[in-house]
Amino acid sequence: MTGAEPIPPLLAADALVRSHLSGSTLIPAVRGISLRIDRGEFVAVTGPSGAGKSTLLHLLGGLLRPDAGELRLDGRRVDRLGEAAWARLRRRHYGIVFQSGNLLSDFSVADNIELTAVLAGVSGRTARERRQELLADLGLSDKATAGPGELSGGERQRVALARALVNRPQLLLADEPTGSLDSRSTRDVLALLSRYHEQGTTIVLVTHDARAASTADRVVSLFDGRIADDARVEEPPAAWRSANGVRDVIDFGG
Amino acid sequence: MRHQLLALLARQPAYGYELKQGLEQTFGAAYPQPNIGQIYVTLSRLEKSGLIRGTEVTQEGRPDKKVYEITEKGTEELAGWFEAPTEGPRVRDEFFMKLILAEGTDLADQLTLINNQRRHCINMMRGLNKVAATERGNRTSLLLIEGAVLHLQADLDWLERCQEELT
Repeated sequence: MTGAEPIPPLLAADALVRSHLSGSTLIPAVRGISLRIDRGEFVAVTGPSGAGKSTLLHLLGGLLRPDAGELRLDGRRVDRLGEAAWARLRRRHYGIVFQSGNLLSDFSVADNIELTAVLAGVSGRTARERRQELLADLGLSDKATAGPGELSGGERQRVALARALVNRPQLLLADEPTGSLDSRSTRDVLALLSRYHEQGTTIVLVTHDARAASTADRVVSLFDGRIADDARVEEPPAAWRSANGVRDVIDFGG
Repeated sequence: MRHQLLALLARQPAYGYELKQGLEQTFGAAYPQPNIGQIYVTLSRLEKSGLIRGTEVTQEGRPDKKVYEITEKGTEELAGWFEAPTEGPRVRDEFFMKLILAEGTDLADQLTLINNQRRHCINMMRGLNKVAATERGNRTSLLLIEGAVLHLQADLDWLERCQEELT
């Protein structure tokens, strides 16, 4: 070992292209996106609807295959792996939460989360502890015994997030995880994401919510299937973090 | 109004009344228009500061008129204006002016303006998150911050619309 080998990025997308069939016409959704995501990064992907955000996230999670381009996970080419291999990869490395927040309808909230952990080889006792912790963080402790059918859209979304995080994934892919949440729940979810980020989880967050985007440390703006901007989020100067910050946005008329 | 006039003059030299027409054509009826008097006052201030240069043109049977052109100093001033993120509650006004006036000046392009403004909004949002974290438990303060957050969200949504329409 020379030690000179550069560490490959956790995810490296190179010129990814993907179209969707609508009737008999091909609609390009992602038109050549190259993106490197390093270990420990927290990246928000924003852009208007139809910009290709969700398609990109599906490509990064192997839930869609690119028509062209390459995808590497940990330096290893993965864009041509089959479904079974992808399923293994996802189980081992990924936590994924989509807008629909798919839960097992016949199981309680607690079981939905714990089963995900147990299936990945976590002991029942650890699974229960993690579940309790996640539900507390997400303000859902009193919903542990409820069925998914008894939850509001926002509650379902948070339970789906808990499922995605219960195995402490290296990489979390989240599609609009604050999409149908009120302000307080949004704050809980963002605080939780920040905490996992601080503990080393790499996060790719598709969002339309500027508050969510500004929680990340890098914002990639998509437009029309391409990257229009890729910028670090900067900490504002300490002096700014006062009422002046608000005054800058709202005109008090004084 | 200084920068609007400078931007129009960055496209080509013009007379005062041409600038008035230019503003009307560029911004349309939705934007409050300055009267000709305000334009001449601003032009004479710009000339005194060396940002534009006026040349008398003799007209037969009518008083002389002045044709104005932008100076190098004026171009620098204008480029600086385009480059700076737009601060404050009047963000929509002034940023919109930059976005529309950038065209034809060769000093800024619209996508860059939109990207810079988006970065600025997101950084401001980051700042508001920090303020919110220190004000946890203060309901009044949090409500005010939430108002500011919603304003910024509206600005960002509107930037996307600008991008869809203009780039």
